Amino acid sequence: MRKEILALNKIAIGYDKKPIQTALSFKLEKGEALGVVGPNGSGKTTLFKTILGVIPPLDGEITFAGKQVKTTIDRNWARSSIGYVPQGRNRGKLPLTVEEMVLLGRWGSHFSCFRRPGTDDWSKTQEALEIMDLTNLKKRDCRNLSGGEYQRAVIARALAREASLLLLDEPTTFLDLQSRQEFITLLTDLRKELGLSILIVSHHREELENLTDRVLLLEREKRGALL
Amino acid sequence: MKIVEFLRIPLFQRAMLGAFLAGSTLSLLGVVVVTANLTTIRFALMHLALLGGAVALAFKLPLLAGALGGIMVASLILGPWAERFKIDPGMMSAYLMTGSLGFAFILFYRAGVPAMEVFSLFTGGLLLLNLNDLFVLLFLGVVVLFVFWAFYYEIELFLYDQEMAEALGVPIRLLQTGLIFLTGLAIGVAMRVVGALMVDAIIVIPALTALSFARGLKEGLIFTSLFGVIASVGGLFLSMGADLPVGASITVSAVALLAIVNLLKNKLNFRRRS
Repeated sequence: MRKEILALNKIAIGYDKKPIQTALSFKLEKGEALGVVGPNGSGKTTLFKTILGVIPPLDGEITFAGKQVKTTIDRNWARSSIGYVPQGRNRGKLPLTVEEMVLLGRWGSHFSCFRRPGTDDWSKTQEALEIMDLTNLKKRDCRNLSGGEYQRAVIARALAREASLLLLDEPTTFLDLQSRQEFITLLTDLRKELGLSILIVSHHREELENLTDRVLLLEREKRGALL
Repeated sequence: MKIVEFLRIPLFQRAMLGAFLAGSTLSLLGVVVVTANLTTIRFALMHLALLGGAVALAFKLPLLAGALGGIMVASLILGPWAERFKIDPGMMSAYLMTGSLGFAFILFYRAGVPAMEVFSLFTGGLLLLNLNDLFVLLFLGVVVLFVFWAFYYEIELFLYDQEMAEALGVPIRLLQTGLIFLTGLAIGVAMRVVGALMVDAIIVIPALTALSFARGLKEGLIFTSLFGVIASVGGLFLSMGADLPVGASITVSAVALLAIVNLLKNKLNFRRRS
């Protein structure tokens, strides 16, 4: 029997006490991939922010690796095992090498304020760069990477965190067709090789069919349904 | 008078030390101003300092204390309050800039506050620095260095991608408010060093120059500090050697550095392409 990594039980998500989704329940097992689809405003990103503990759930329970997530300490603990991959639109004005960006993935789980990165942090960073075939680009400014290279670097950042769950929020939106296909193949391989659990939002249903085991459909002001 | 002779005079020694401290430490906050889009906010902070100064004089309190009080209130308004009431900090800055000036002029008129005394906040000068000013500069410089040392990775995450920083658990609102407050203090002190109209020469231009070619935050901070020192100390020497106003010499040095670095960068890029 596969181990349960994440369980949402009758969760309500939203901002300022206004729910976007209510009574949302699903489970994700270790090594399983779940796709999330839904129109704009249906709460896909809010769902991710709730799982990450950025915003608290309005109701219901979240369980991570068998432990109920209630307090700030619980949220920080759960977050330390989650790798988040945003759309890849924000490259910022700050110059940052690929290596530094990947190292930052370990913030909050392995180092933080007053606890500087150690040799282990740097070696895990190099490992993640090697897995993602980015070693030769590690000194390059992130702003000068192509869309596909940048998304690989962001995945490397999640791997450096030693995450057991990847949350990917429309990761292929800004990629061309070829890069999109390569990215999905890469995720499929990673899932098999590292046993990662994946929760992915995408507008491209065909991508989800290739990568995921199940799909969660979110609709505005309706209960989410597993397809 | 030769430059060496100038340096025997305590007034110039204090100016040199002040230029070094401001150039090497306060300039680091320019990296935050440039990368976190706080360029409008810095004007709002200066205007609130003016209103704070006017309020202080109306209640017979020290001018500088009022200005710093104004900066504290402004950092609160631009940080957590802007967040709570969902107002864009840029929009809030626009309100504050015009609103604070209006209120300050009402105070000048109604409370008989001497406007020129308040506006003296805007007219600083390295040659006017006394020992107390140097201690304030040293203290603030140490605080700035400590903040960048202790929260280096949090600041890096915040400046690089706020969405990511939030997802990893960085307390970005607290960090933003702290950085705005520190930037406000640095602006307040820099106004005393070079005058308000030339604050950018110390706070913004060295960072702009460094970030145009730096490959990471560490490189960015090191070169910002270096350019800050070159511009402020070099500007001071220029003013002594060529008998020019100090603030203007520092500003011209900073702008010249920016132009030289950009020219070199373009030339190198051109060579690489061809």
